[in-house]
Formats: sequence, C-alpha cells, structure tokens
Amino acid sequence: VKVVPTSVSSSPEQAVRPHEAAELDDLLAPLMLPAYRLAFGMLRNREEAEDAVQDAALSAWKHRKRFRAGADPKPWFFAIVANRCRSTRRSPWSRLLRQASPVPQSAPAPDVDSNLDLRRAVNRLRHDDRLALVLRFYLDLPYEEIAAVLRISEAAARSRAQRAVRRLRPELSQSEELTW
Amino acid sequence: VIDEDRLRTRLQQAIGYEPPSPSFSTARPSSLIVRRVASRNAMERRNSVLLAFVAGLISVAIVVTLIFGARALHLTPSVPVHPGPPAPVAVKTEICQAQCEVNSQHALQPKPAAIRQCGISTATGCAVQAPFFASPSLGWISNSFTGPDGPAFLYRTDDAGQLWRPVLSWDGPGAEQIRSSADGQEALIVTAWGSHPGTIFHTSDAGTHWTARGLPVGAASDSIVYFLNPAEGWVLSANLDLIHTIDGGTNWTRVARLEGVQQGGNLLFLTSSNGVYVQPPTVDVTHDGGATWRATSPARPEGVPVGAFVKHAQATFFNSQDGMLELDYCTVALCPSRKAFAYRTSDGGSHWSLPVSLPAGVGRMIFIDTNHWIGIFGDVMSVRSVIRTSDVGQHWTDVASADGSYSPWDLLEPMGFTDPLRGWALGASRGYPSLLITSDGGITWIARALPT
Repeated sequence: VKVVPTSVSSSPEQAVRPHEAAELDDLLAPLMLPAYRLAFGMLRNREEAEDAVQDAALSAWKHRKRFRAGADPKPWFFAIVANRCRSTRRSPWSRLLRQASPVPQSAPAPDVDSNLDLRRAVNRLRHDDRLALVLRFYLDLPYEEIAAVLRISEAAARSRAQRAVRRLRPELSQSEELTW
Repeated sequence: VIDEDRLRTRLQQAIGYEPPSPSFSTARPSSLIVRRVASRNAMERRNSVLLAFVAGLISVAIVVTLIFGARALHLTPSVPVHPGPPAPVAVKTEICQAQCEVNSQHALQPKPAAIRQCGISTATGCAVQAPFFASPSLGWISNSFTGPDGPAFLYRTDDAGQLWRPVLSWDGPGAEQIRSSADGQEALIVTAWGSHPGTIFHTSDAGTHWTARGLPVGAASDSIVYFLNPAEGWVLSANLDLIHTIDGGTNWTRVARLEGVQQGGNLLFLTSSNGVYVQPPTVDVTHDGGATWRATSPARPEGVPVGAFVKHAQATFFNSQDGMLELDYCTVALCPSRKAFAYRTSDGGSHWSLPVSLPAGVGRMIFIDTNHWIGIFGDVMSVRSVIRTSDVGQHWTDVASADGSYSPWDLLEPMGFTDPLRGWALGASRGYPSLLITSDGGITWIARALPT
C-alpha cells in the first residue's frame, strides 16, 4: 500500500479527498467489521462501537504516515480502535449509557444470571486486561497478533491474558479454569 | 487441560454480539469518515449553540440573583430617590408610652379651711357635692360656688354628720370624687375638670396638710377619672388610653388602650385587678388591672321592641365579685317612657343573670346589695316617692321617714351604703339641704345638718 501524506482538514470534503478515497478504502475496508467486533467486545454498545471504529478510521487516515509501508495494518488499526474504546469508556456520558443499556438480545437465555455476573466481572477489568481477554477469547486472535496490537511480546500477551482470566476466577466454575 | 473453548464460549455468551447497522457494514471507509466528520461538525455546532444558551441562562440567573438578593438585603441605590406624596396615616395620639407627665402647672393650690354654707341646688349659686363615707361615722363632703374659680370647701365629720369640720378650701371647681381610708388619715379629692385641667388634693395626716397634684397631661375634659382608694386610680383619656397611679397621682403609668370601645362609658374598678367599663349595650371586664379587656353582653330582655336602645346604664359593685347592673331601654331619643331592667353578677361582671324587670316609671335605682334595692320615682328636684325591695325585686314597699317630719322625703343624689344596713344620701325638703342617714337598709331615714 502506497501511503501518501496529506493535510488534515476539519471539513468533510477535505477529510478524504476524492483521489485518496480509493487508497483509504483499500487500506481499511477489510478491517472495518473485525474492528467493529473488537469495539463491541470492549464497549458492548453498537452505536458506541460504530462511532469508535469511524473515529479510529479517521484518526488512522490522518496519521497514516506513521504506518510502516508493507506491514500488516490490522494490529496498527486495532491499536487505534482500542485507544478509541478506552477514550469512550472513560467519558462520563458513556458510563451513564452503559449503566442504562439493556442486556443485548444476542445473549443466550439459559444461565442468564451466570452470564450477567461474568459480564460484570469483565466490565470491572482494567482496559489492558480486558483488551487482552477480548482479543484472545472474543476475537480468537493468536497471541502473536495480540502482542502486535498491544505492542508487547508474545509471552507478555499470554501472561496478560492469563492474568485477566485469573481475575475472572470468582465468576467462573472450576471446570472452566485455565491450567496453563 | 485447558478448556479454552468452553471459556471462549462463556465469554462470547456473556459479552454477546450485536451486528453493526447496515449503513456501517455496507459503507466504504472513506464515506464513513466523511459522514463521521460531518456528524462531528454538526455536533460541535450544536454544542456551541447549547453552550451559548447555557451561558446566557447562567448570566440571566446571576443578574436575577443579584437583583433579588439586593432587595432581600434592603440595599438602597446610591442615587437620591424622590418619594411621592406621603400616604395618609391615621394618627392616634397617645398620652404617654410608659411614664406619664403630670400637668402640675395648672394644679389648684390648697388654701386654709373655711366654712361657707350653701344649698344643694346650683340655682342658689352654691352646691353640695360628692359626699363620701368611709365608714358609718367618718365622712367627707364638699360645697362650692358656681364658676371656674369657686371657691370650694371641704368638710369632714367623725360622728355621722352631727358635726362638720372644715379641712380645706381652694379657688376652683368643687370636688368630683372624694376617697378616704377607713380611719380617715389618708384622703384624696379630685376637683371637677372640664374648663379646668383638674387637681388632686391629697392628705396623709387626716387633713392637716394637703398637697396638690395635676392630672396627667392630656387628660382632657372628656376623660374619665376613677379612684379606688386614696392611692390607686385610673384615668381613661379621650383616645381611650388607660393610665394608672398607685401613689395618689404622683406618678402615672400607661396600662393599655381600650380598643374597640366607645367613649362616654362608666369606668369603675372593684379591686386593683378587677374593673368594668360600662358602655351600653356591652360591659367590658378586666381582671388584670386594665391590661386586657373582654366584652360581655347582658341578655336582651324579652318584650323589648326591636328598635329599643339602652339609654342609661349603671353598674354597682359591693365587693370584687358581686354587683348589679341597671339598663334602661328606650325607643325614642328623649326616652319618655323607658323600661328598666336589673342584672346581677357574682363573678366580677364576666357573666350576668337574666334581666329582672323593674317597676314601671322608676327613675333611679340604688342597689344596697344583690337582694336589697331602692327605687326612686321622679327627678332630682322633685322626688315623688321611694320604694324598696328585699327579695330581688319580687315585692316592693314604700319608704317612710323615721320621725315623720319630712313627708315625702326628697332623696337626691347621691346615695351610698357603707354596709347593707347603714347608708347616707343628700336630702332636701322644701329647699333646705340636709344629710339623710339610715341604719336599717333604707327603711327609715333621719336628717343631719350640712355644714353651717
């Protein structure tokens, strides 16, 4: 992918110039749905997840010169999406919406109480632990990609995922515990 | 063994998944970015407008708070204010607030005792006034010549009127009230007021020495003065301020203002606490020395025409609780044929009995006590007959003289009783004044000479 530096403008028309649109679409189109799943796993709200991905796309496009040409854009873009999710979760307005948001319809009907407790436990995790957990068990990414997204070593990524699972231990039954 | 798959399933179930909206999933990234920028710009404009609106509201709130806060703190503007014309205010002048000034400049001066005989009627240029007996034997009486400068004379008897001793004279109106202690050591005389401010003469040595004091400043001609004894008295001023003295008029203190009553009533106190103010058809009663008053209304007698009104009212008390009230009803102003009724109280005037009808044509009533009454027919100068009852008006008998020398007796005002049996009255027969004494409750009377 050939990255061409461009000026950043606040007007919609200037945000992505016509001759740059194709380049942008080629770079980010394959990542939009996986990025949305990541954002949803972090935020559990469709509108917030869509906004986070769009803001991440805009931010990525503005700072595309930082992207190393020839590299996999997925860890780079996922890192930007994760940062947007962190910013979104920190805003008081987002916290208020999360408290008022109903349980998603996609949640399974059986064992509702157990899922609710586990969801609350995941929400209580720190951002880094939660991100590692989502990347590993929600997006099913290998530790190598997780390490690239988190910009840490693969061992550190594995350790962070294990730490997150241990912090969920009170909410998990014995049979579901990890025995690495 | 890692049950990672089951953990993944549990987490995915717990977190759930909601697919993105079609506009998101089908749109190209470039169009999403353009749409997002447009949305953010619109949001920023809305936020700017909202911020400006909130700032305006806060500014208005601050201004309103400052304005009302300043009003609440009674802050006045520093610029001069030109008020409009003052609103009319009903001014009610009070004699005094607490300590009241005594009008001593116009007080009459006591002069040496002297004797000046005069008749009862003012037609003779001289009149006998204000007889007062502190006991059946100890009495005082005054006579004075007509005119603002008198002169006036005061006499004292210690033997039921057989001998009168002159004790004081002054150049002014005669006595209006005389009060004396039972032993006669302390006495107080209030001269008539009207064109004259009025003077109080007081003695503490049986009349050997006298001091003159003025009435309170503002006690105008239409004030009411009532002394319970030589030390304690009240003045009800024209504007119904009640002022009080306990030292024979040396110092006066304003007690209260009698709101809601009419002027021209009769004020009398039975004790230092209990008093009544009779202004028909109501009787105001106090039990705290005049500080507070409560109006009582004696029952209107049956058979009295609707348009009838009380022409005359007189209250008499025999002690602090027992008393009588006479109300004379008339239907026209001149009252040619009035109908009189008597009421009895046994609680200082707080409650009054049902009315007792008095004999038709009776001109004046003297209540000896609650059971014994005397009725006088005729007027002051022409008394035709005197009747008496001992059973609350159930039966009446004619009163005759003791020796028959005067027939009929002309019993004139005033008449008083020092106890239910012994009383006195000013009398006249064929134009000659005399003091009449009774020792049987008014059944028989004997004549005593007036000062000569």
